[in-house]
Formats: sequence, structure tokens, C-alpha cells
Amino acid sequence: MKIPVAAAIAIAFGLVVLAGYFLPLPELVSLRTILVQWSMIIASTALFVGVANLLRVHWFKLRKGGTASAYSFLLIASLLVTLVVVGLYGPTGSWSLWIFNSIQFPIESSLMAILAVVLIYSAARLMRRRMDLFSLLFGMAVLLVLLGSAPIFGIEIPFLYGPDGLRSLIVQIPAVAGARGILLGVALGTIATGLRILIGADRPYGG
Amino acid sequence: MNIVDILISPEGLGLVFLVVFLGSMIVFAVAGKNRPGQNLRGIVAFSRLGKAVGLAVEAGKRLHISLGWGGVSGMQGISGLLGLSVVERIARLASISDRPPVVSSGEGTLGILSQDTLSKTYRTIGEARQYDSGQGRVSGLTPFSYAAGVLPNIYDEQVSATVLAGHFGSEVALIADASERTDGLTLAGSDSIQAQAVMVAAAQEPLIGEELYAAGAYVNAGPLHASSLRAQDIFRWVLVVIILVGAALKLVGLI
Amino acid sequence: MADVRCPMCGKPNPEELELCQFCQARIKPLEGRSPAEEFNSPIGAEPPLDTGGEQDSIDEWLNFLRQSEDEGEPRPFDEEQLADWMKEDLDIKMPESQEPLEPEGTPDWLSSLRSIADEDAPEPPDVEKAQPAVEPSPADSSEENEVPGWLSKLRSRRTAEEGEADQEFAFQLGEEPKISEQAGIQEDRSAISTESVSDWLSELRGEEAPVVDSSQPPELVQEELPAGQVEIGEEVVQPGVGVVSQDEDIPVVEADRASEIQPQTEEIPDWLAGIVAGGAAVAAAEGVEADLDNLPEWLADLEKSSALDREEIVPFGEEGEELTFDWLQTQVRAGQETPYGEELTSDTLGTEADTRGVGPFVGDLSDFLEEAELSSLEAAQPGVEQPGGDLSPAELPTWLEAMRPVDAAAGVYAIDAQDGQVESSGPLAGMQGVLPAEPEIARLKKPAVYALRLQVTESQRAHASLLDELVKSEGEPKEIPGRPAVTSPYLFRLIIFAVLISTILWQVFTGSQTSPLPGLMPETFDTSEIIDNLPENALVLLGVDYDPALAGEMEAAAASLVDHMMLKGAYLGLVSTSSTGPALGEHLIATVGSLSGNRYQGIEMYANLGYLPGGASGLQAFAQAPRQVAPFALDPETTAVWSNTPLQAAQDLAGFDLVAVITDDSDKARAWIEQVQPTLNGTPLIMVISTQAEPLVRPYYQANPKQVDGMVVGLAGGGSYEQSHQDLLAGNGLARKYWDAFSLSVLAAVVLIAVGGFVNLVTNLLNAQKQSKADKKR
Repeated sequence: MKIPVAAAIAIAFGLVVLAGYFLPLPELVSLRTILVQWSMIIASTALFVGVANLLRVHWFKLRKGGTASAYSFLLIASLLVTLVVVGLYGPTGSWSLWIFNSIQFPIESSLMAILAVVLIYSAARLMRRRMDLFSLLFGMAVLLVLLGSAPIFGIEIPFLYGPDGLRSLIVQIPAVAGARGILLGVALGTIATGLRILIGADRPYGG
Repeated sequence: MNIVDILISPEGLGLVFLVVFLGSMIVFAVAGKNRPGQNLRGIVAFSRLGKAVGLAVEAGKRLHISLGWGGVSGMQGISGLLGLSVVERIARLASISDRPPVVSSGEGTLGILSQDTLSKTYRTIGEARQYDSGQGRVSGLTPFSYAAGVLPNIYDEQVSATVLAGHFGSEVALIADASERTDGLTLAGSDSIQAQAVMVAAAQEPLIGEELYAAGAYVNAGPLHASSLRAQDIFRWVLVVIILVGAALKLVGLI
Repeated sequence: MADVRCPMCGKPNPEELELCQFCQARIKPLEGRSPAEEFNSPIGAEPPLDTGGEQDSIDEWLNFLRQSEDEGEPRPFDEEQLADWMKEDLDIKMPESQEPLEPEGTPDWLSSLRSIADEDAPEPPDVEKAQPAVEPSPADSSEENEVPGWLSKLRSRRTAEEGEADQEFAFQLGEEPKISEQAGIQEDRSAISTESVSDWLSELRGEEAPVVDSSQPPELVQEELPAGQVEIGEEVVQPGVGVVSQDEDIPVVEADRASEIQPQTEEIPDWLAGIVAGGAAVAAAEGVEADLDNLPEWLADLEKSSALDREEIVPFGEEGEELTFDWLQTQVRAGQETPYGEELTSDTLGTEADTRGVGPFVGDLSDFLEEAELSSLEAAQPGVEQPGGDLSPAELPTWLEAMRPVDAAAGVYAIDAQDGQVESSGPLAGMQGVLPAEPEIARLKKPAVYALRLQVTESQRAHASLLDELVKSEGEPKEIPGRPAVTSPYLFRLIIFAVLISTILWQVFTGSQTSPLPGLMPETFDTSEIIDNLPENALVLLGVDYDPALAGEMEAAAASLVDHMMLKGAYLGLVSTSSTGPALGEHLIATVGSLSGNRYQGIEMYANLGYLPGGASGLQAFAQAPRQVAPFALDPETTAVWSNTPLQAAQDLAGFDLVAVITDDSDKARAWIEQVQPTLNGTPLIMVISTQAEPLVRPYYQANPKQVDGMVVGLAGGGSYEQSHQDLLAGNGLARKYWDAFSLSVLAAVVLIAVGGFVNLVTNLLNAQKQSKADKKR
């Protein structure tokens, strides 16, 4: 099997980092530390690449025209202004924080508020989309956890609200058990995927 | 420190676990070489995905794959890498479509890799002209800005099916809701528990647990995908036995 | 003064000239040479549509025909009135003629024509063999003693068809014929020559109208005729038995009359039979439902000509043959008098197209002649100017030369010969019986626009239009039916939004803080104990790892805890694995400061170490070497905080007195626990987490030994912390502010989910019930 250079490099560095984690050899550990720090640099570079890609996508949208191009223009203008301001005043400068506190913070909070509406709608809609026992169980759990989250009009619902209530019981035992079980499965899947990448069976890079 | 001490240490046990896991994957791959796709239980989401790809190609609509914002490192990154395998497979299947699939991600490295995967796929099938770097795009660099950036992709680009395969948070509900509003199919899988909880309610076809990691086997991404799935099943039972034995030993006070 | 165009060269000439001043061709027709001229319209005059004034003459003409029927004798040929060449031809075509004529002075061309006809003429037995399917009409049995069927039918139908006059008239003007009318047309057209037509036309005919046996005899006869003679029957002569259909005003004979012509054709020479049959077919193809009351002018003129003929010939019945020939002559003249370029209706065009372009001889001619025929048909296409003016009159092809006398044999020149008129000028000088230079030929008239419409039935038309619509609709962009502006999901979303926002607005406007905050929880208590136990000027590493979207919950949960730290005088080192973390940290510090009044500002009180890229890897690297990974603070001076007090004392993360992580993501929490906690060497790790991360983080708190030493979970945890430390945030904590609105919103959410879920459940059940009923019905 012909292994491209990129794949060979990826496999080699993956094995070194893995060996450095499992084998307590000082040389391996130091090498692993260096490689992990490199990965941070690469990741921070990737952030710039992401910004550049975002800029490129919206630049083409802007050139294409149409109604959506106004949003692309807004995005590009905001990006450039933010770059200039943060470059001049630093990331924690007053103007930089003003941009964050006055624009990004409320916008993302609004998206979260929309998410609340969407989640309520989706929970109600679940009975139409999938009407089965698990959906009923899901809906009942949602209602119980919600009712146990706060006193209603100042009235604490007995056996439901509080540290010993049904809500805490659900959250701390079945939910944790289920989450743990899912996480074990996810971990196994992660291991399998990682091993496939490590041996070059999956090459999501340019190999 | 001799080799035995290393092997009985937690790190050494982990290494043994990995080696055995890898060996079982290879064995199953060799054993099941002539029986690809056998013994896979039916998952409705994947059968609907196959139909959705065909319908999208026939209707001249686009497929949208979202890789999340988990990057490529850590457990979060693995789901994104798995999503890239799905991207490759869907790009192959939809290569005859007028509208090639578009891949969105919320992190720079994933954006680069998505472009690279698309480029490689089109080159492999001799359709290099179909590749456009705009097909792999970074939509936002925070979870909610990423979700907000994905919404125009779904609303404006005639997307008939959205595949969510990667690391997400609760914001994934916004993407699934947008897909439902456009009467599109939403197939959603994530390593995140929070995202999975939201997907159950918001997505049409949620992938629960490790079902996302079975995607490669179901979309015929390669023989090792199916063999690794069998290895996962076996080691899951091994872990269950270990947990039960450990709980019993704890209960009787032996550990 | 009006100019008259020369029929030969097309150039204008003064009206008074008889000969063209350019080519010496005759402009004015020879007078008195043809009786047909008498019933032709004057130059440029259109035949009047209203023929009511001529009804008497028409009736007289028809009475004349009826007389012959009543007398029970077919109209014999008046051989005396025939031109010599025609008589001879009659002999050629009628081998059974008693006295084959061989007049002297027969031109060579006619002799050759005769010889060709002798060779090509079908043997009578063959013809009979070829007509086995023809049912003997009543006229067959009656022979000469009985009235021909077509004539009796014409008479009997006259009254019945009067009511259809308007309809027929409209059809002639180009309207679509009715199915019954078309059927007759198609039958006869298909019988004319299915062999010689081009494929598409033959297919069309074959599909639309099966060949009728009754029309077969004329076809067979025509096929065997020499080309020239066939042309007589097909092109020049439009005999139209009894009723000629050449003019647009002419009612059309019914289709089935073609079969009724058969008896007479047997009595005449073959070539005339061809003429008659062909003419009958053509006439029948017109599909006339004659309304004799509305006969056009030309038909009235026909009657006049008949009257003239009667003066010369033996009355009908007494000299049947003469009369028959006279009638035939009349029809021939009628056919000849139809000027070139005269306006024809679509149906007459169709007939002419059949008789001219796809005549039975086409298949027998050489290729170039077939092309010529087809091109002549194409020349009749709409908008095509006839290049008559450019023709060189002296360069006639030999085949046309050979045909020329045959043209004359149509009858007109027989009379001309009797009149002794000889062409004295032009290229035809010296010839007898030359086609008159009809003034109408020179009429400056734009060729009529003809629509070559396919003759299709109504059902075929319906199918074709349906197919046409389908094809057109494929190419037309269809509007996707837009969704209604207000749909039930949209409405439901609006209701959810309205209910949720109203609970918040209610709390904002009322300032209600009546709902009791949660009591002290174990994890909150542990957290509070850890902070209470912090030393003075403690070093606290504060991980700010949440998204701006969840800042509302996270700040409410963490504000009291952070204020607690500030009150303890802790030095805060802020770090984040999220790119927005540094700004969020600043926002948190500012918010707590504004609520509590603690002025935490400057590098002396806290250091924002910034963003750790790489996620878990970056966090691991930071845990292993914090000084290298995050060497500078994000203050305006970019201070190297690790070399200054108080962080100078912390060589690694274990040098901190407390590590507190504020996160909304269980994965980030796990990364901190798994990557950082092992490097802390006893330094407590506490977490302020979102409610959504609780199920995954709690096991770390509940583990033994604890991997997380204390937790504050969500708004309830923040409220619990505020409840236990009411002095924090000046008693004005965020959790307290939000709690009433939160509790009401939770109730609203429960109601909305329950009601919406129930409605959807019922709807789904009803739909399933309907579906099952529908399935059962099927």
C-alpha cells in the first residue's frame, strides 16, 4: 500500500504522542510535550485560517450579490472593524470590550433565548414526530425535571423539588448512568476511530 | 522500571487495551473481508440518509454536512474526523449531482480538512472540476455564531438533507429546527451528551450514543469501519462485565 | 391609368395593350375562346360570397342535372365537341370504344403520348382484379339506364343539407372542420395516392383515415396514367362531379360521392376516368355539404355555361355522352379557370396539396420531378412569392413541352381550336389552344397565407393539446406554492415566545422576588467551605470556559462565588480554552464589581492570561507548563505576570491555592478534570457548571476521592450560594433577580410542552386513525 508523505508524518507523530502518554520514558514525555505545544500553535494558526475562510466565503457571497450579500457585507465590515480595534487597543481594551459587550454578547444571548423557544417547540413536537414509548418517557422526564427545578409561585412541590426530590434523583442516578453508558460507547468509538486514523485506514488529511 | 511494571500500571493497561483493540479490528477486518456489511443491525437514520442522498441528487438539491466546532484534537475532535469520513462518502455518492454537497464547520482546522477531503474525493473519482473551495466553509468560530452561520446555508442553498456529524452543543437545535423548517431531513449524531439530548427532540433522525461512530460502516466507508464496529461491540460487553465485577467487589469490600 | 402586369415577364404594361411591350406575350385574353370565361369573375373581382341572387340559375343548372337523371340516361360523351387529340386519347384510354379515332394531323407529341398510354395503360382484367373489394354501387348494375348514385344522393341530400350551409361556409373560410367533415376528406385523400406521398404524410393519412375501398378505383386508374395525363386529372382539371370545389366559396361534395362516381368513370376513357375519379376524390375531399341556396357566383356561372352548352349539345338524356362530356368540359374549364395564386381556404389548400404535391404520379417520376412537385407544393406555402416574373418563357423543359398539349386537352383548347384562335405572339406564337393569358394571372395579389393544418380528429387534437401543454409546462418555471404566512408551527412558536417573554417582562416590571431561593446544597456548601478556607491573597486560577450565549446562566451562578473570592482578596488568574473566554472573564469581573462594589481592576488584582488554543491539548500543555503556554497577561502593557508578584510564587498549577472552572460544557469540564486535576497535587478544584453539564460532572464530585471538590450548578446553585452568603453582591445577586422569572418560565415551559405535546399526540392519533381507515377502504 502506498502511503503518502502526509499520512506517514501523521502516523509517526501520532504514535510518538501515544507512546509518550503510555510509556513513562522521559525522552518520550518531553517529545510529547513539545509536540502538544506545537499542536497549540497549529491550532491557533488554524483559527486564523478559519477567519480567513469565513472572510473568503462571505466575500464571494458579497460579489455574487442578492439579498444575502448585505449580511455578508455586514460580516466583513464587522470583522475588519473588530480587527482594527482589537489590534489598536488589545483584546481587553475598552473599545474591544465595548464591541464584545454591546454586540456579540447580546446577540449570542438572544440566540440562546431563541434556543429556549426551539427546545420547547421541539419537545412538544416530539409526540408528532415519533410517537413511541421512548418519546413518552423522554417527555415525562423533561416535565418532571422542569417542575423540580424551581418552586412554582413560591410553592415547592413535595417529592419533586429539592435535594431529595424526584428531580435530583433523576438527574443524579438514571441520567448519570445513562450518560456514563453513552460515554463509554463514545469512548470506544473514539478509540476505534483514533486507531483507524493512526494506522492510516482513515486519512481525513491530504494523504 | 521493567516491562512488567509498565504493563500493570494504569497507563500500561491502557496500552494493552489499545493493542488488543487494534488487533481485534484487524482480525475482524480480515475475517469479514468477503462479507462486507454483514451483521449490521438496521439503523433507520442511515437508510434514510441513503434515500436522502438519492433524492437530493434527483431533485437537484444540495446536501449539507455539518462537522461542528470540536476541532481535531481530543475526544471532541474524533467526532469531527469521523464526520469527514461521512463527507467523503457523501461527496462520492452525490458527485453526479448538479449541486455538490457543502460542508460547514466551526473551527479552522476542520474547515481546512473539509476542503482537503472534498478536493481529494473529487480528484479520486476524476471530477476535480467539481471541487470548489467554497464547499468547505467555516461558518463561525463560537458555537452559537457557528449555528447562526449555518442557518443561511440551509435556508438559502436549497438543502434537502442536513447531516450533523461532529461535536456540538445545545445550539444544534437551531440547526435542526432550520432543517425542519425547510422540510429537509436532519440526521444528527454527536459525541456530546448535551447535543444528543437536544437532538432527540429536535432532529428527525438522531444518532444516540456511539451510533455516530458506526456511520462509516453503514455508509461503506471501508472494511475497517465494520470490523471496528464489531470490536466495539465486543469490548463494550467486556467493559460491562468489568464494571459489574468491580461493583460486586466494591460491594463485598474486596476493593 | 392602371397598369397590367404581363403574365409571362411580370412587367407592367399599359392597360390598352394586348401584347406585352417587353416580351410580346399576350396580356389580354382572347375573347370568346372559352365559355368558362363567361362565368369567371372579372379581373380582380372576388367572387361574391352572397350568391342568393343567382339562386335561380343554380337551380336551373341543378334541374338540368336532375332532368338527366329523370330521363334515366347517363350523359354520353359528345365526341364531336371534343378536340381531336382528346378524342384520340379517349380511344387510347378506352380500348373498348367502338370506333377508335385516328384523326389526321395528330401532333407527334400526342402520338407519343398515345403510345406511352398504350404501354402504360392497365389491362382491364388487372383493373378489375384490383377492385374486388369495391362494392357495386347501384349505378353499377343500372349502367346507363339508371340515375347515377352520386346524382341521386346529391338530389336527396340537398334539402337535408341546407341547414348546414353556415357551418360549411365557415369551414371553407378556414375554420376547423368538424370531425364528420374531416372524416370524409381523409377517406378520399388517403385514397388518392398513398404510395406516392412522402412518408410523414402517408403515415398521417394511414393513421387518420383508412383507405376506403370505394376510392380505390380512381387511385388505381391514376396510378397507371401517363404523367401528363395524370396531371390533367390532378392539377389542371378539378372536375368536381356536379359540384366543383376549387373556389373558396364552393361547397364541397361529400366524401362518399367519390365512390358514386365510379359508374361513370367506367363509361369514359381511362384517362378521363382518372380525371373524373381524381376530381371526384378532390371534390369529395373538400367534404362539401352543399348548400345550394348559398352557392357562390362561380357556381352560378357554371350554370350559365351549362346553359350555353345546352344550346350546342343535345339535351341531357338524349345525347347522354355529349352531355356527360359537356359537363366534364365544364368542370375542366372550371378547374382551369382557377387562377394561379387565387386565395384558397385551408381545406382547399389541403385538397390542392394532395392533388398537386402528393399526386399519384410523384412516385412514378424521376427524382428531380418529384422534387419539382414537392417544391411546387412548398411554393404554395404561406408567404412564398412565386417567381413567375423571372421565368424565361422560351426555356421550357422538354417534359413540360410534352405536357403542354395535354394541358390543353383539359377542354379549353378544344373549344379554342373550334374557334380557330391561334396564338400570334410570344413564345407560344402559332400554337392553337394556348392557355389564355388570364388577366387574373397577372393580378398583383399576394399569395394567400395557407395554414397547413393537420387533419386530426377531435380526440387526437385533445391529446395533442394535452401533450403540448405538458411539454410547455415542463419548460415553464412553476411557482412553488408558498407556505401560508401563518402556519400552526409558526403560531405555536409565537405563542411560546410570547409566554416566555411575558414572564420575564412581568418580573422586570414588578421586580418580584417572592419565590424562595433554594437552600444550601451539599456541593454548594463544599464550595463555600473551600473559598472560606482560602488564605489571604490567595492565588486562584479561574477558568472561564463558557460561551457568551450562556453567560446569563453562568454569571448568575458564578457571581456570588467570584465575589466571595474577591472578598477574600484572592488574586485571580483568568484563563480560557474558548476564544471568547478572555472577554467573558473581563465581563464577569466587571459585572461582579458593579454588583458588589468591589473594584477589581488592573494587573495588581487579577491577570487575564488569555486564550488557550487547542482545546484539551492546549489545556494539557498549560497544565504541564503554564508559564510557557501563557506567559503574558492581556493588559495594555502585556505584562509578564509570572515574573511578578503574586504569580511569581506559582511555578505550576499546583502553586495556585484554588482552581475554579466556570463552564457550560461537560466536555470542557471533563478536560479540566482529566487534564488539569492530576497536576494540581492537592489544590482543590471547584466547578461552576451549567445545569446541562451536571449529570456528567456530578460523578466526579461524588467520586471517592473527589476529582471535583465543590460544585455550583446553574441558577439554582447560584441562588443557593447567595442564600448561604447573603452578604455577597450586596444582597443583590443575579440569581435572586432571575429566580422569580425563572420559576414562572419553568411553569410556562411545562404547560406549553404538556399542552403542545398532548395536542400533537391527539393529532397524530387521529391522523393514524384516518390513515388506517383509508387503508381499509382501499
